[in-house]
Amino acid sequence: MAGPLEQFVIKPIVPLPEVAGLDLSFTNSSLWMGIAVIASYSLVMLGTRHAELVPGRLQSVVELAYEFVASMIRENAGKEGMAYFPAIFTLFMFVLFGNTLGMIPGSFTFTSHIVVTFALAATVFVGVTVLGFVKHGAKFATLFVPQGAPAAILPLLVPIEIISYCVRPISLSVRLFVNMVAGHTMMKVFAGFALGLGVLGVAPLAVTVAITGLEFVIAFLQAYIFTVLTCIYLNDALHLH
Amino acid sequence: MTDDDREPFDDFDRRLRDARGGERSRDERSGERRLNYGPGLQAGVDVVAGVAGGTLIGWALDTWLETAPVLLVVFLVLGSVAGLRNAVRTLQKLARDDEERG
Repeated sequence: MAGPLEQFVIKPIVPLPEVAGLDLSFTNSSLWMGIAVIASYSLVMLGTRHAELVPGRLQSVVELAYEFVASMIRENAGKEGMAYFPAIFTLFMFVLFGNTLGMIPGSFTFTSHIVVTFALAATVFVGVTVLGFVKHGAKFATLFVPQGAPAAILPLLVPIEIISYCVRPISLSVRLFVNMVAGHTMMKVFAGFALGLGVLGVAPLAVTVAITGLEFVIAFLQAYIFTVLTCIYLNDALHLH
Repeated sequence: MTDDDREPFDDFDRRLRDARGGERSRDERSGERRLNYGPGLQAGVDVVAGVAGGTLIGWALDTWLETAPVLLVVFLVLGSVAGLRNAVRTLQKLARDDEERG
């Protein structure tokens, strides 16, 4: 039986030659990213193709997703944040599909790799920082000066604020990746117990069923948290203090 | 318009309001559960990221400026404080959301 960590191994599907020392092979990770993009794109496109006043099943799903992300942005980043709806909606759908597609047996969860989650988080970080400086110019730097703090301790506080701003992409990406890895590993471990214990394996089997349900919750919850934090960072860039 | 005509609409408004109120309170309950899910874990990640980020920045600056290990130590401390700062922020945000939902 495959070990609990083997599900995270990246395997090349179409080996391609190295370019400047980088392995550009098309891997199982790339395949599932492609599937996530195609699946989310088709869902939205098919759901809105024959838009009706009383939505059908598919249209309802798309409208629910739209409303969910739109209210999340309005609550956390204000009305001005709605200008960035397309980017945030795309991000949410990509992470959500990455997490949930990973629940299909035999599939690959690309959000369980820190390279992927960190690339997403770094994109958010760079985008929000650039946006802040474009919107507010040099005044954006006042984000790092806590209001009402005595001038004497500012030399200590400002570096701390800058670092706490810079480690945001780390906590954002680690949160998603750790949750996916831990959940999927736990599921495999308990499934392994179920096989190894014979008749007594009924107990770990029941646990596996319960964890599967929990994993669906986590798949959705982590996509939600990733997006909500993106909105909060966007809010900082749009409205100083 | 007489009072007789108006009456059924008032009744409808009231019933609609009741129905909406009932729905909202159900949403609030599920929202509360959702946000209470592992707030400790949420904040824990922030602390770890602060320590790791501080160490990384310190180590990188040390390598670049050849001042090892001074900046590593300084940034490890600053990073830990920054991590705690982020953790407090996360918990405050969670508490505020809980409060708003009542």
